[in-house]
Amino acid sequence: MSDEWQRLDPSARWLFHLQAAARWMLFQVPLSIGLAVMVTTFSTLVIGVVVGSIFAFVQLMLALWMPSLSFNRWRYQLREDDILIERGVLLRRLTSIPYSRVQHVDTHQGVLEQSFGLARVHVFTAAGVGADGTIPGLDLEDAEALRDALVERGGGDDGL
Amino acid sequence: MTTGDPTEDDPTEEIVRPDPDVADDGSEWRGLHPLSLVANLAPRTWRTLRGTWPLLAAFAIGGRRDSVAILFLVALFFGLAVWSTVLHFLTLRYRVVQGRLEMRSGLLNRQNRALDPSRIQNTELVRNPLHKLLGLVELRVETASGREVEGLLSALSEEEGERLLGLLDAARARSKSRSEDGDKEEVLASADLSDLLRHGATGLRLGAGIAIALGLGMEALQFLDPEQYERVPGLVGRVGGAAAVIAFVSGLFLLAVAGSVRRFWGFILTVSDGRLVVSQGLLTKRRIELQLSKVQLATVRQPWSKRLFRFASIHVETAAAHVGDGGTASAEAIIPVVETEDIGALLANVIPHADTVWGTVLEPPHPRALRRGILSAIIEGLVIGAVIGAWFGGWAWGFLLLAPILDVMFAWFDHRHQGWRVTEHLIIARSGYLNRRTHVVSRKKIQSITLRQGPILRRWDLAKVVIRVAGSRVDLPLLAAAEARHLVDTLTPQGQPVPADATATTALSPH
Repeated sequence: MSDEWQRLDPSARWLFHLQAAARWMLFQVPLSIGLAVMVTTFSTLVIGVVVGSIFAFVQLMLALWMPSLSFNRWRYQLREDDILIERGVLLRRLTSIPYSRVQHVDTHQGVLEQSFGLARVHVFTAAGVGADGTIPGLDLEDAEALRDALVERGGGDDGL
Repeated sequence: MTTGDPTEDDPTEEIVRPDPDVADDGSEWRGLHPLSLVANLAPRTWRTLRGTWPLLAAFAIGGRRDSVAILFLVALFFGLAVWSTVLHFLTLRYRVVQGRLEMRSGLLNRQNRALDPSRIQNTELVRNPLHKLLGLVELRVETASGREVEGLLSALSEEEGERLLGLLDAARARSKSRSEDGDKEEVLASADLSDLLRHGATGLRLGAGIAIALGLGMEALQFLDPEQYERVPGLVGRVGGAAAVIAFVSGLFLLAVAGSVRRFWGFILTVSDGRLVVSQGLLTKRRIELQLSKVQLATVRQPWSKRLFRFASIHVETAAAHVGDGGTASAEAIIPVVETEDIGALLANVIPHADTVWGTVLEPPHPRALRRGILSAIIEGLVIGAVIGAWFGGWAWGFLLLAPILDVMFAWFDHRHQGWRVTEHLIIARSGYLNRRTHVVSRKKIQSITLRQGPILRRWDLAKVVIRVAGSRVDLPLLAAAEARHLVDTLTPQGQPVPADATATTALSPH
């Protein structure tokens, strides 16, 4: 763990793509069908199908395009007193969490992450975790090393 | 704790260690006061009534065929309420061991809980009218975890409540290694009836009241025939309409004043031995105690109406946000009336060094932030104007022009009155014109700092900085991206001064 920007594991790019594809299939396709049905009730079947198809196509393009951008943006850096996490495509965020404020650190592996041998790290402070303290797509060993490093550097005044 | 030095020269001397199984006062596990059955059953019955009113209404207007089933259901709900009250009384036991409040409850689903004195954010003694009638108190002990009151003893005798509070206070003092004699009690603020009238009058929520009245009016009109709509103005008349409006506003005013008097009657804020103590309440008496070291954030609220009367309200927050009063209540102590010239001195008692920044000139937001404010105001105004125009038609389409103009005007006022400043010890951020709020945070309490940039802010090279403390957050006004990045790099909880020269050139990496 050096004082340099660290990027996600390269295979996380494909994990992000797979997760986006799954979201598209499970949520956006049914949503597009629902939209088509709704539009059809107000107009004709053809217009409903066209609107639903366009919606599904736009979502598919986003699902193909955004994961790579998201992967490229996500990085973290262990500094002397804090960890910096940077992420976001449209809404970009840079978060600094001082080590002394870390309450606990979790590593988490979903089903897809397990198949890629990856894990995500959740950093909890007394302000909660939210999206600000999460680093996905790390090699399991790297995730565990990061977790241990954060716990090791933590302690002291937690600001409560 | 020892009774003497154990030395080889005196083998009779021995170390006496506190027995973890014996309570601080030597007593065993204790239960709630027997009258808790009454004190707890009454509110539970009321909650059950509120929950089952549709069933009771169906019973009242329904036929005989369903009445038995409905009565059975209602009786079942009441039976469950009685059962849980009795079970709570029979199984809840508590004690204070080495300063820890230990509680256990439950029959099948047993729960054990220990609250360490160093983790306690605040304690509160509550006496509602029923408690007062029965000579009881409710003790609430909160930590930073969760959204509920972690240590709730709902019905104790007044002596037992004071005794427990004393034990917990002594334990908290020991955990902070403070001297037992402590400092003298000092009154920081109080409020008399005229203060509460001022507070209530300026807390008038006219907008919310009008919205509710409009909603009720629209509902009432549903029952009228379309022909009767047109006769309503004629029946009421101009004088009647004006009288109705005056009566409505007077009613709202009286409600706001009554609410303020009910909540803050007898308000007094004292500080002693590192603790803030608030006593208040007309029907339900409250005594809230919180350690000064646990204060996360102080917010000075100065809406235009309070500025007109030259006073403010100060909300003091710890990390122990909890669900209450119909929502999540984060402020543990609210000082309803503080004269404008006294704000700095009072803040300094809550957050050290606050008096050094209060009243000083704050840094303005970046000039380009005004563009963002105007853009948002135009969009918001157009949407509001379009909705009003589409709803009422005709002359109401004028709002399409009027609403954006008004919104832009307020955005400009808002921009002019925003401000922020970072010192060696503190962060101060002010926002709002109509509803002005100034947040004061000690840098020692920072949990995380986040810089945010959407596409529009990136185009204008601006960024937003969000500072999180336990239980709350403070947003700084929009800053130049480089300055925001510089804050993320230097705004550490260690309290180092922020150097004036920003060295970063871009807020986020260009990838």
